[in-house]
Amino acid sequence: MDNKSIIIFLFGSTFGLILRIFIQNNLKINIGFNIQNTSIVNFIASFFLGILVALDFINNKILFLFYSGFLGCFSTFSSFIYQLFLLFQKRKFIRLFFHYIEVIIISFFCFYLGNYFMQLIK
Amino acid sequence: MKINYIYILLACYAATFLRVFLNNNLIVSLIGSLFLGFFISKRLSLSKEKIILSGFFSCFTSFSGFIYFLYKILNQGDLMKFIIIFNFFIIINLLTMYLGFWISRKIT
Repeated sequence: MDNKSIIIFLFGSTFGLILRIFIQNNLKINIGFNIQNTSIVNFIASFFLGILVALDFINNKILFLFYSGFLGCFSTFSSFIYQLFLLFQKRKFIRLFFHYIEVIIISFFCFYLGNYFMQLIK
Repeated sequence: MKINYIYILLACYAATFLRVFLNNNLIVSLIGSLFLGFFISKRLSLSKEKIILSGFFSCFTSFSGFIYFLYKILNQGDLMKFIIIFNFFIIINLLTMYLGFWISRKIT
């Protein structure tokens, strides 16, 4: 990694971390059912990922750094597993099953939505 | 509180470089789950919890990396393989977190 890559990478990481903490601490969405803030963060990250995939980020160094830095720090897999772990500990197995199916389905929906929007703009 | 944010940021940078260095979604998520399970069983102060959980482990593991990994499998057109792998990924991480939690309980 050269200096420019490290700067882009660190900038992306910082921005991703700050945005995640901000959303986790402040955003409250109530649309009739309970959506946890960690899941909202992951849905937004999936949407951005869909956009990056449409932009073919693998062949673009800056976009790849944005993917590793920003999206890597913005989205959180460990918190998702931790949510499942808490349900597992409380022995709420049905809720656990539906929660993880729901997160995967909505994440893929957001991913394809981002991808579709980007294809439209392109 | 300002100092805490600097520590969170430093933990985030360390985790991000470590993730990029390892460059393997499954290994990264398993290590993250094991150690996260280990730490959540301990009584940590709020600032340490923020640094370790929100700063380090959230940046070390990546949900977008997981979704991209699943997308590549889905793109191969094998839905059965996709379902098996994503269930395997979740279950193995959940069990690893439980293992970390169990080890931590046994030690203390």
